[in-house]
Amino acid sequence: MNYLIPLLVVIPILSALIVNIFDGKDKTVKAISLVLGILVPIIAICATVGVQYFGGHNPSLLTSSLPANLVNTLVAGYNTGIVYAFANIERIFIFLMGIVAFLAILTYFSEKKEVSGPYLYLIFMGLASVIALLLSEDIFNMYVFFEITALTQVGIIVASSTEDNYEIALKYLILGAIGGPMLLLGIGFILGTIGSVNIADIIFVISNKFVQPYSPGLVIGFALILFGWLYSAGLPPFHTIKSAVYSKARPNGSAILQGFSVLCMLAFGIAMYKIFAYIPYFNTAIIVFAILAMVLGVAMSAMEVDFRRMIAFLAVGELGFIALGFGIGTQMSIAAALFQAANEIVITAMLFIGFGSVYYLTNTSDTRKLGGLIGIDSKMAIMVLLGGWALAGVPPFNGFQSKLMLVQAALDAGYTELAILAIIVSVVIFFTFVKAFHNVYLQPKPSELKFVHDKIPKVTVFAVAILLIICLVLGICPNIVTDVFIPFAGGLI
Amino acid sequence: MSFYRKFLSSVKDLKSNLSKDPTTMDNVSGAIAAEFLIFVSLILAALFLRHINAIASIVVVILAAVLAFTNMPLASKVKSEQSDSLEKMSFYIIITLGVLVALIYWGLKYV
Amino acid sequence: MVMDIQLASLFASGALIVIGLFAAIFIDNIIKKVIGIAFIEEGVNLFLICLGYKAGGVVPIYLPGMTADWFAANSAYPLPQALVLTSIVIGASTLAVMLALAMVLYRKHGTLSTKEILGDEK
Repeated sequence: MNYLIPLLVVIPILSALIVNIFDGKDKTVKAISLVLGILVPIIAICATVGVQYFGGHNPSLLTSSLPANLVNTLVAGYNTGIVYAFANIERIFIFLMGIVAFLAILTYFSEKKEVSGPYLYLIFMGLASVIALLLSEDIFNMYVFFEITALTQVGIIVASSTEDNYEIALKYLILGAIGGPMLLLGIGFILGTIGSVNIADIIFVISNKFVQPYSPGLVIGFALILFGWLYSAGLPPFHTIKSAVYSKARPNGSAILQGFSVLCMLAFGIAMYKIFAYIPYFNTAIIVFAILAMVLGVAMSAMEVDFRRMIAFLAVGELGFIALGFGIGTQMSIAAALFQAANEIVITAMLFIGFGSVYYLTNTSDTRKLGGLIGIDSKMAIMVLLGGWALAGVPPFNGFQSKLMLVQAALDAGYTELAILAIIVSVVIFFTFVKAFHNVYLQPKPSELKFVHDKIPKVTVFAVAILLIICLVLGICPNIVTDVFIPFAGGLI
Repeated sequence: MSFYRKFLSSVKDLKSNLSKDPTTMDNVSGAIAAEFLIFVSLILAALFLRHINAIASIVVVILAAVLAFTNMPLASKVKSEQSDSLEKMSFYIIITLGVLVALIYWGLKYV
Repeated sequence: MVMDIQLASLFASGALIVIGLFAAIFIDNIIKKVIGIAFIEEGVNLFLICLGYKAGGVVPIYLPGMTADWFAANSAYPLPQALVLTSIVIGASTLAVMLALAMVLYRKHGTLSTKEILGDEK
């Protein structure tokens, strides 16, 4: 039995509870959260690949103890408990998310004198729930952890004390209260048709024709789960609220929030692909939303003058690339989508923290009121510029590798238009980013610009540097992750 | 002097009124980029129809090009629909839900 | 019996969801919106509960004296009940957070109208 798999979820929950108890004792809280925060990526590396049957319900072991009339029936193979599966792909994503969360917590400590236990509680709880979401093989369990993630996201915005954060939080909750129950309703339809919520059982039942593949229950279940996926990922029509959510958190909070969204999208996307890929027009439906996300997200970010909102819209536009890879549906395109997802977690977090240092210095995020900040910290400025290049897909960074892979996959699959569109969108991303960079760092400093802090904390620079190094390493040796993604994508098809 | 002040304040008023409109704000380059992106993606999305029917895609491409040209500041129209107002967001969300369920349910009945 | 209990509850759950969606979208008052959202959640819960219903069934607890065959043929399906329990808890916590936010926003703006609080005013 591999006890490290459940520990990946247990440790963040435990640390959430502990930091909440010690709220007020700053040093203790800081020490505990740093130690436990770095523990998550370490466990992700050390844990061996395996499956965890909660309650010991291993179906292959249980068959011997079943009553005679149940042996060799459909029910005999059903999983009776929650199953967590941990493979190398989960290892990569949990490691990256753990690193991002750790660096975000680190920057939070450096920018605030007194730390808030409840805020750290929310971060750890969200981390635990996205990890569980990735590991879980049970769609209802995924729904539960997704709702916990959504609640922690709301909590992080509410705790951020930016202007209008309560309004955005309530809007997110109201729209989520339409999206979440619809997802649950879809899961209910699947449960009613198949009688199990375990993904392996559902696939087994459908592929062996124990139910009609196009029975109304399954089809409506698919439509509702697709809608829930749009909500969980922040694809259109949920892109406006999702970008508002990112832009209302503190920079370190936004870095974590976007990572949560990417992982939610990935977990539900993979589950949907496993279950419903046989449905005709499945790929078309996903491509439609992917194009909408890319075009609307990037066009909105080009028109934005608030740089936090701009990065938030860019993050949504990048989600479109991931969805595009899933939509094209070949082995290489899905591998490219996974690679793009891994890159986005790192790059967007880096941009939120790096550009967030401007907000830390000046307390404004309106690019029209900013300028000349390269004089304050040129190292940070250059790292942010390199991060923007990574986002737009400039070699030698990781964004280039994943986008190249995606464009090649689109061409190989015969979708020339999508390849052209992906390139055009990347160009606009580059333009948008360089324009914002020029406005913030290079244009002459406006006379009325006031500084709240004089210096960027060293820890923030360190965090951005670490993330940039990860980008470079993944860009120069993409084999580290693609060797895992390509076989995994092959298994999905 | 008071006349000069009046003139100055009226210019300031004008400027603040103008800056609410995305096509006249400081961010003109961004608006133009967004305009091109939306235009190009419309045409490309119309071209995507060639996987279903080539002739239909030609007709739709020409139609989309003409319609997009005649309604030219597309970006500002798109932007005004993507505001943070709860009403607009919930409208699009509920439309998407309805269209998705209807299309997938009745569409797959005849597969 | 005119209508099967399961069918009747399915209709009721559909009605709850539709009424809830209507309220959550069209009603301006935040508290009423939240009530509508509660309707959606309860409708979905009722739907899930219906799935496990078995006319004339027994509670899915294996008691001494039952044979395995009889139990398998007569007990209700327990999985939806376990799921609904979790989903009720989630719904309650979401509702609590929403009401708390509504309270904060009422203190800030002095009104409960969505158009004024969550509109396009920025």
